Amino acid sequence: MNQEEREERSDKVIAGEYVLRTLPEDEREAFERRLKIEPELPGLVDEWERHFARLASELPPLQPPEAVWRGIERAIHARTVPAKEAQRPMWKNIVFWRLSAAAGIAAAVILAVFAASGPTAPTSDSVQNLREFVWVLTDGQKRPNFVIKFDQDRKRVTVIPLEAEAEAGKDMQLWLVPASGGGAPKSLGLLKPASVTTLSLDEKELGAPIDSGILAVSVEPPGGSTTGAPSGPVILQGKPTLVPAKP
Amino acid sequence: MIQNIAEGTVVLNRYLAAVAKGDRASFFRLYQETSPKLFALALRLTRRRDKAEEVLQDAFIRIWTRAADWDEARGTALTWMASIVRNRAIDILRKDARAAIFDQELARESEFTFFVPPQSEVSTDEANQLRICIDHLERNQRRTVLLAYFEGLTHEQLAQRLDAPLGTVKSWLRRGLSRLKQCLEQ
Repeated sequence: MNQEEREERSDKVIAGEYVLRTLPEDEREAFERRLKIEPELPGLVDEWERHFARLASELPPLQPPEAVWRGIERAIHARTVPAKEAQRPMWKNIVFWRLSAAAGIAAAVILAVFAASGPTAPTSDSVQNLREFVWVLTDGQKRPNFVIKFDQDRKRVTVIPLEAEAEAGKDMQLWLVPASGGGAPKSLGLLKPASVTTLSLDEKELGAPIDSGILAVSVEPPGGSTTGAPSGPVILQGKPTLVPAKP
Repeated sequence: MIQNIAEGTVVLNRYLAAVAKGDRASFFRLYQETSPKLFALALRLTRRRDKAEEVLQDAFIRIWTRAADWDEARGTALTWMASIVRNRAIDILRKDARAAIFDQELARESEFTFFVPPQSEVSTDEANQLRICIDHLERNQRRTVLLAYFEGLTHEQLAQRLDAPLGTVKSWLRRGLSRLKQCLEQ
């Protein structure tokens, strides 16, 4: 290596590329590992952050629309105010849960969901369904957090939150983990812990039949995983259950 | 708006320290003081207003929830916040493959706008030093460093944008950073 090549691969330069986010994934990970154990490296990163932030602060300022602040306020408020008990639907009711304990939790959840009206009620165009799959996503203590229904005809997934709660500043992302040999987990979208969500889903686009796999939820940075695969801890999962078509 | 950088830094640092303790009034003031600069950065990176608004919103939610992680010894409040905004913008750019396929008009425009922004009225000596050092870089090194920072491009995207071989572009970027560092340390 000549002098110039040595300079190009110096820690100062790698730290600069780390801050710029131009390092390829493997080099980035290697540098992150070194950052934790080599005491002189964080200072190099901080210096680059400082230089580049200075570059940014020379951009002509631009007033963002007021809606941005309102959105921030709403998000912060939502993270600190617990849901009101009175607004809870039937399947969140503790008495209901005590009564259903004997029946088995998954079965009870499915019954509750099917008994519920509203956005999940069947309409004439789903009457022809020959089969319907339901997943009950449970946490480490086997508590059901979400119920997921897949409507094959209308190519959509309905997500019904039960006791789910998002970690502050994080999003929950839903993944299909195909049965063995089916490839890597595939993102189905972000979940809202406070309301029923419908995600459109095309099995052809997905490249895997949804009923072939486990559904799992991981904790991700706002907006979802940036790597295309779950990057945070998997907190919930559930297997598909086939339920009879509705009359 | 705070006009004096040194005084501004102290005020912003104080706001952020209060935000770490859950002080909403300070959070609002911090937003008022910094959002125009951070929005400009988000827009520069995403080149789309809707995306820039999304980035700014996500970044400030993150600033609220992660304020306790900020360490004054490692950098000012504004540096820490600019880094969050830029990283969030890059996350969105790289996640949304459609956003990466930029529109032809924007591509043409960006050919002319990747130079250093015009000197601001509130430049400090350090900012002037940075400008001088950037000006001293060879043209290709300067273009590569600035495109990497302001557009969040990867090596491959830089090569495509500058229509040069990957190895050449990596070399421009690394030499540019190396020279920049040497110049700033003088």
